[in-house]
Amino acid sequence: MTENPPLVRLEGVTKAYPGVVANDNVTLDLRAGEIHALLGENGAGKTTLMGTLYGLHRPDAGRIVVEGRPVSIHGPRDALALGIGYMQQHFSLIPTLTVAENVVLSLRGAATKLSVQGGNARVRELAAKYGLDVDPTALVEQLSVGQQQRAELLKALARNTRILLLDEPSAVLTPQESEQLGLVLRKLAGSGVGIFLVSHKFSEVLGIGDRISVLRRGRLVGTLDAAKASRAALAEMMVGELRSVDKRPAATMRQDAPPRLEVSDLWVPSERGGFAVQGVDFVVRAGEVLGVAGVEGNGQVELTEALAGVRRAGRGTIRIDRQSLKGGRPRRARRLGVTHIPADRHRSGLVATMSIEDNLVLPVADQSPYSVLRVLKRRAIRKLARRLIGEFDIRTPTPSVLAGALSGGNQQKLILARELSRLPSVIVACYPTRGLDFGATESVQQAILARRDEGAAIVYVSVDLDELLSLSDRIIVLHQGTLQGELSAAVATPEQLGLLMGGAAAA
Amino acid sequence: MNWQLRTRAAGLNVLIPLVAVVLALATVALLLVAVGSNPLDAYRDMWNAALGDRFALSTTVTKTMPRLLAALGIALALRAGLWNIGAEGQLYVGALATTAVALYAPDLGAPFLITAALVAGALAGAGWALIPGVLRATRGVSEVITSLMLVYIGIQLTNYVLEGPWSQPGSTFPSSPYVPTGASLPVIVGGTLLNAGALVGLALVALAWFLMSHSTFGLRLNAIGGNERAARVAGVRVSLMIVLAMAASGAFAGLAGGMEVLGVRGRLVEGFSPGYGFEAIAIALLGRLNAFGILGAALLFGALDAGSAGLQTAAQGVPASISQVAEGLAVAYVLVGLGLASIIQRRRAARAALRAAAEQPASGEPDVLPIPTESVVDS
Amino acid sequence: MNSHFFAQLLVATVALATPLLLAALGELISETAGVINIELEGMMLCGAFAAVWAAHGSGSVVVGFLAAAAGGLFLAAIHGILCLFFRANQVVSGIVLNIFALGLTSFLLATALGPTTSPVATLHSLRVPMLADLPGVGKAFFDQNVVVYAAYLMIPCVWLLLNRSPLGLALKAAGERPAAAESLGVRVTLTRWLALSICGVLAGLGGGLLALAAIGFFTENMTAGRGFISLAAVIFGRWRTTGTAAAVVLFAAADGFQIRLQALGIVHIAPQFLVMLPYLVTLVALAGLMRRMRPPSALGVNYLSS
Repeated sequence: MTENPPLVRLEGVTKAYPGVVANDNVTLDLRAGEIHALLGENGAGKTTLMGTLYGLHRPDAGRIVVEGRPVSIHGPRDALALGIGYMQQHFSLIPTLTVAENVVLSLRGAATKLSVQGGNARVRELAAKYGLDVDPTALVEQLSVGQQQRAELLKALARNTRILLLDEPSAVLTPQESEQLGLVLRKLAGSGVGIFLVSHKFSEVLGIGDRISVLRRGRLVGTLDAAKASRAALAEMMVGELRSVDKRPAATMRQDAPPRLEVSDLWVPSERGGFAVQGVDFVVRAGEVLGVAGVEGNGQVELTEALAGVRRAGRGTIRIDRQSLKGGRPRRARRLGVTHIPADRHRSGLVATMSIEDNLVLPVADQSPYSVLRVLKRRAIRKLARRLIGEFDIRTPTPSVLAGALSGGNQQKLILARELSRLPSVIVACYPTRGLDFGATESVQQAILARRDEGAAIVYVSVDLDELLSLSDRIIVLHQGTLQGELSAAVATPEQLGLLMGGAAAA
Repeated sequence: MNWQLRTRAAGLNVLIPLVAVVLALATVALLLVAVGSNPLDAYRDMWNAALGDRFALSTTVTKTMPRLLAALGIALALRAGLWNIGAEGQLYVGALATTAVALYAPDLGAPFLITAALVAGALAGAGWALIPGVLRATRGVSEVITSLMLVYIGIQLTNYVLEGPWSQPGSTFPSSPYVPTGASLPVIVGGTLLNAGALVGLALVALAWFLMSHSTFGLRLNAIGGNERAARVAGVRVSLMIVLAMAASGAFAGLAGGMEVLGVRGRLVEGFSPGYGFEAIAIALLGRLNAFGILGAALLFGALDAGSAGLQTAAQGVPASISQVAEGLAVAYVLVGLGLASIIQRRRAARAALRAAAEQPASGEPDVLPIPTESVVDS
Repeated sequence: MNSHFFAQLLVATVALATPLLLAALGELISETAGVINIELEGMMLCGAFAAVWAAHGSGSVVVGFLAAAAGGLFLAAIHGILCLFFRANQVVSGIVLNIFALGLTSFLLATALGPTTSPVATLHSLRVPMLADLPGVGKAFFDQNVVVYAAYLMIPCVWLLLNRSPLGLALKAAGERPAAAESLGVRVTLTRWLALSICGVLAGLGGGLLALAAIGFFTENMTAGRGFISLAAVIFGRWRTTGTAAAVVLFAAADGFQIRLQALGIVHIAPQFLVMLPYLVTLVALAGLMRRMRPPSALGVNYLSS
């Protein structure tokens, strides 16, 4: 694009939360008619940056300049007034209303109000202008995800958005839909709209973007012209140098160790329809750690839930110690010796309103010595709790503290204690060290590795490549639910992994 | 589970309901003044009628029983997050079954006939509650509406039987024949109304307490009520538990109905329940889902009922309905108190988080977050 | 049972249906926005009492109806404070307010109004000149009081509100996805207050009609479960205006049928089964057709705008 003054300029934006600096002195600008891609792994700070621009949070430092004037954005209404529209990953559409009704609703109180009839006409008009094929009279819940996204886009357009923020828009689209989206965005840019596009896919940023900025751990690593960028360069910027990593003492794993987990042609359905995991195969042997790399949202959670029996697999087989596990029955998985450290502690991992000791005893409450004829033996439970609290270093004044009051790290240790205190055959851990400080991370990793030494097979999902490289024996990469590659951890490099994570074919 | 239902700090658990009751009585006093009555006289008469002598006490206890049992059942289900709004219907159906067994089963004499009749009542109540339970477990249908609908179906069913097959020609209101003496709960303190049902009630308080706090069943119900998904992941058989919890809840309510028939009136009378099943919901809340708290709350409501009946007869011009006003206000104030507690706690937690962020910008989290460890309110 | 019977049944149905219709339409609006009112019964009761009290005091039926609206609104306001401000569970609040309303109205009846009070003025019926002469349906539909005619108009009005107006969209959004609605600019709490208030007014009017249409008295618990029937009508009507109205007519007809049968001494259909009809069909609908019975997703779920 020509040298227009920037539409939006973020100067020195910094945003910190307890324990983590999400954005560290980031300076970026967006020109009119430009598509500016933001590339980075999860936790790099891309979404936080967009949220700051949209007024969802205030920055701790820095300022935002719109068309040369510094502005103060206190909330989404201010952002909307400035012509900023934000398409988040979670759509803000009302499913039981039609597309036009959603548009009319979003314009209530704005300068250009619409009647319900007027809404249909306006949507048709915009759809034709930008080549967005959506039926204004269709109910949102009946639309495919791609169509819903187009409806979101129409909402933004109806408000005459000049600065459009898109957060991982093609995460939920098929390749064809992504292409169509690309065309629409190009048209929009052509009419002068400036677009920030957050993505972790190389093909997307290279295909659509005019400029690409790479963020890593809150900092801006660099900004390139898309024409001059290569995948390799981007991958290196995205994941960084291989730090000197202490490889954990590998268990002496024999090649003929028995396979404990065998996954064959596994397809796992996703909540949104379609499949989150598509045709994955792998085998994990006793005493082996299989790392699973990939940007969040590419099927890891669904994979681990299927392995733990929490989610029903659509197709394919899962076998634990040669016994098959098909249906969504967590109890069966437990009986087969699978332990599950779920991705979302709060949602699936523990009951926040119960005490620590009750959480610890829950899966085994009906076994002796914790109960006799359905009567709980509080002393035995207390003893168990004290033992596990000590063994797993859960920091708490008493075992009767509510689980919800513990810090994140201690909650994770609680879940570990509950799961690993039995003798598992397979451990399926999904982001087990997420949000934990160094000490807690160490403990968690030690605990899992200890079970490995006892012969368990481990599936370890993480977004931290350093962690995966140091803990795993082999690493597989998931991208859009498919297995992109399987590498031996001893020889893999972050760059290789980064390429696979972005969807490039194995180098 | 909804924070409203359980607060952990024992202090607030007792304080909020107590303050609420006092405020309710004060409000009612104002109301009495507004209509020209003397609240002190009214309260004194109520006190006498409810707690004045042995007979009054027995009236209070008798009126406590059905509320107590139904409330225990509701609390049990509520631990799992299940709202058994249909207790009133289960009460009627239980009464119906109990009467049927008492009237038609071979008269084997007191212990057997009574037990059989009461068991039938409990089973009928359990069955009536199974319908919403199964619908909830298998199809996710809200048990609130389904059990509510079944209340009126149950009442009409009972009316049908009373006005049809069991109708007594010549009686002033529809009722069943009297149950044989072998099926009547004996009076245990001479000269009063206190019947053996009170002992059953106490036993059930103990049973409920045990189930809720000391059994594997109760632990699992708590887990489901706290986080259904996490409970499932931890291996709890959630669907089964939901059905069992509703059935148990219905059994308590059915038993309550049966005991009213066998212990108080000796027959099934149309409209015998002035809304015990609905009041029980309020009582369960007032008692903070704790068996002993519920006992206390049920006694309070029973005393109000007995006391206000006495008001009527004292010809003060103060109608018995004053007790319902007091009951409604008491629970409303409890809801306000819980709401305030929640608002205060949220503000405190937000302020604490801000302080923590300011003081330690990038170091690790504290082990236990700066909210009271014995959390005042659940999430 | 001849045409005379059915003509009379129709008259009875319209009379029985109108209070139910008003309450049900009010509840429909409220539930669309996500607020459930188990205390609908209590609202009607408060409305009925307020109507008689005010009509007695002022001698005017109009004042009576204004008071009826205020009476229903009174209970709705308490429900709103408890649930929308103090975030109490809506079901608990509803049940408790029913107990309270019953107690309060009975209490005030005995103390403030007194059982010896003479009946208040009631509504006159207003004949629509030619339509009232239509055979069969004329008397039923066109020889009623003015509130009934207003209720007829309510149906299309509510339909237009919910389905053709931006406010209706806001109500639906608040009841379906409050978080998304808020980000679309809808002020969810305010919207719910509005919906709840409309419900209170309509339910109160329904109660007022019960008292002032023909009887002129207030008796203890005179609503006798109508509020719950209205609740069932909204559900059975699948949260749609036309469905709700149709459900109300069906339930009123069943009730009217049952009353007529009793009056004629016909006994082979047990009246209780007709009385339980609304609840039974609603239950069956819920049990069998769950997939198509979709309540507003956020119904009964309090929203915390952070």
